[in-house]
Amino acid sequence: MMVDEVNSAQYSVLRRKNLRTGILLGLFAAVCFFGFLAKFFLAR
Amino acid sequence: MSAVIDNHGHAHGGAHDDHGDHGHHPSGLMRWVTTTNHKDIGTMYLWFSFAMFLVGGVMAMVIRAELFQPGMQIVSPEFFNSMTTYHGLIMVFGAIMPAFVGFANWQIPLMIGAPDMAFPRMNNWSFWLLPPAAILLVSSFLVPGGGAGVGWTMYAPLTTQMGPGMDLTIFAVHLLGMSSIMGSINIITTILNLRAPGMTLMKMPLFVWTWLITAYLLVASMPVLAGAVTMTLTDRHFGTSFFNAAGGGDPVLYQHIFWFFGHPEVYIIAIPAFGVISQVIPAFSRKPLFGYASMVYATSSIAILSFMVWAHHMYVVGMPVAGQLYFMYATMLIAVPTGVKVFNWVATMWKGSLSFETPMLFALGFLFLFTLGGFTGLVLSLTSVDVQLQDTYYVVAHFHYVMVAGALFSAFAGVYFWFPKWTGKMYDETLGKIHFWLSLIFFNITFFVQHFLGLAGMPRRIPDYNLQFVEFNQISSIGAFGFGLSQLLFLYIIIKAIKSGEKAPQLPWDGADTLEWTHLPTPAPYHTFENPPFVK
Ligand code: HEM
Ligand SMILES: [Cu+2]
Repeated sequence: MMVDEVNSAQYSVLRRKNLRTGILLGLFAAVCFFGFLAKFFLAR
Repeated sequence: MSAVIDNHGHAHGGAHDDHGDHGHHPSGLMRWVTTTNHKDIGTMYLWFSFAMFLVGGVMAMVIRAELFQPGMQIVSPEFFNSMTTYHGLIMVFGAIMPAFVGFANWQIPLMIGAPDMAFPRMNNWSFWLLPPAAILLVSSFLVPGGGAGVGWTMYAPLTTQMGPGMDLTIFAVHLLGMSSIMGSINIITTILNLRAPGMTLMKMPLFVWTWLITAYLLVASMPVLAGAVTMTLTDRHFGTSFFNAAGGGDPVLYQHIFWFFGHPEVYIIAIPAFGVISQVIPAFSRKPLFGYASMVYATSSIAILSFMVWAHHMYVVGMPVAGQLYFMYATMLIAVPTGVKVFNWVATMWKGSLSFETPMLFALGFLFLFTLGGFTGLVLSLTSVDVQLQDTYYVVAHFHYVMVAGALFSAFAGVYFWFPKWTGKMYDETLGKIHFWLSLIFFNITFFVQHFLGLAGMPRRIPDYNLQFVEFNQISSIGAFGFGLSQLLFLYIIIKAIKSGEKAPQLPWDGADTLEWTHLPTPAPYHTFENPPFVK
């Protein structure tokens, strides 16, 4: 059984908050990676 | 590890409850492939890590067998180089890091009172990227040219001269990086959003703190490694010359990028190890951790500083003196928060009622030997000294003290400590203690003498050596075989405990006071904290 199916009040309220945190962190990692590569590729 | 399912409390649980689990839940292999349960995933991380530890260990045995005598006896120089490369890569990315992610998966939700990780499906992906990465790494031995003989640091320009094994290795590093980044996002989100009511940040067990900090290090540094190997890939195949002097690039640029990742990486390994030790020492001293707040600040300072010292790995590339001085002093600065931590651990034991079960023994082994590794780190941080010692066995001795006697011993401490909670069984205490003493003795036989070899000038990553180094190398090789065999005892202890271990009491360690011990049955049921506990 998946946790996001657990019938827990805590979870359903937090789903959106989690997504927001996760997407922010993902964007940060993506900026680190692509920003980093772009810097070197554009410097050529 | 626990396949025991509790069926309480799910609205739709009882209706189709045919084989103990919920009806739609796959069993057998598919259970593990599709699982989104943090305990299952933690278990898989730990077993994967141990398997990789054995693979990397076999490679170490090949290295030590070749170095038992001067001259070339067992393997070709090219194969020897690939052994050092994949030994390092597999131990760092396949054994140590996944071991601590395994602890994170099992323990963070239990310690903060959360029902699971924040993104259970992504958690499944984080784990299942690892086996393909391992297959890519190992299969590089099967392609023309064999495994890449470039060292785990993968310096240019050697990487541009390797066969297709290098490409497989690069793709493996991409997968490992993706896995780590997804795992870290999950860990940070879980800790920030899913803490039980009353569990403020400064009430979290220190293990949770260390993982919060480590996950930030990972999110910030893994993309840089991914970038470095991607640039290597385009240099190899797509006509760029980032690291190629003939095309206007600079091989030293690679070293800067790699170590900007690489030094935070060594703390990615060390900081969760600090976290485990910070749980074990108070439990076996029957006292709260001394200086909790200062531990949090010290760990954070170490993490921030770890991004500012990378060029201590590059003192001889031709830096300006001002650069050498800056990196020397910045590196020495890290010893201050590290010292704070060591003193706090010692102060925790001061006047405690100590007992010395296996987890505590490994924690004490950690304390002595990690500190010794920290000291040799300080020696190496002196630019003028490092000019002599860089690329010698002194460096090999240094990082094995911090990574084996440090991180690996801490992982052993953690496994013995939480094993009863995970499985409901006790391991054999006598065998556990034997495992500790064998590991401690053979570790020192293997690596202490490498300090002398390094001081006498024996270079690392070379399959042959001059006659004056024979004795110490033979001692080291004997120690290494002993250490390797001792780890089979660990496997035996674990299997024996799972199969026929005695039933664990509810609280096997009477000093342990975190949520998983105080609020949950032993063994922890499959689903925990569906309704959050209230923390005072
Ligand atoms: C007080 C703490 C530490 C200091 C001052 C320190 C300093 C250094 C220095 C100066 C070097 C470069 C030596 C050379 O290549 O010539 C080095 C290498 C290394 N250190 Fe540390 N270190 C510390 C802690 C750690 C920790 C905690 C870890 C890992 C858990 C670690 C892992 C490594 C590794 C893997 C290398 C070798 C990298 C390679 O060339 O392959 N160190 N350290
Ligand atoms: Cu470093």
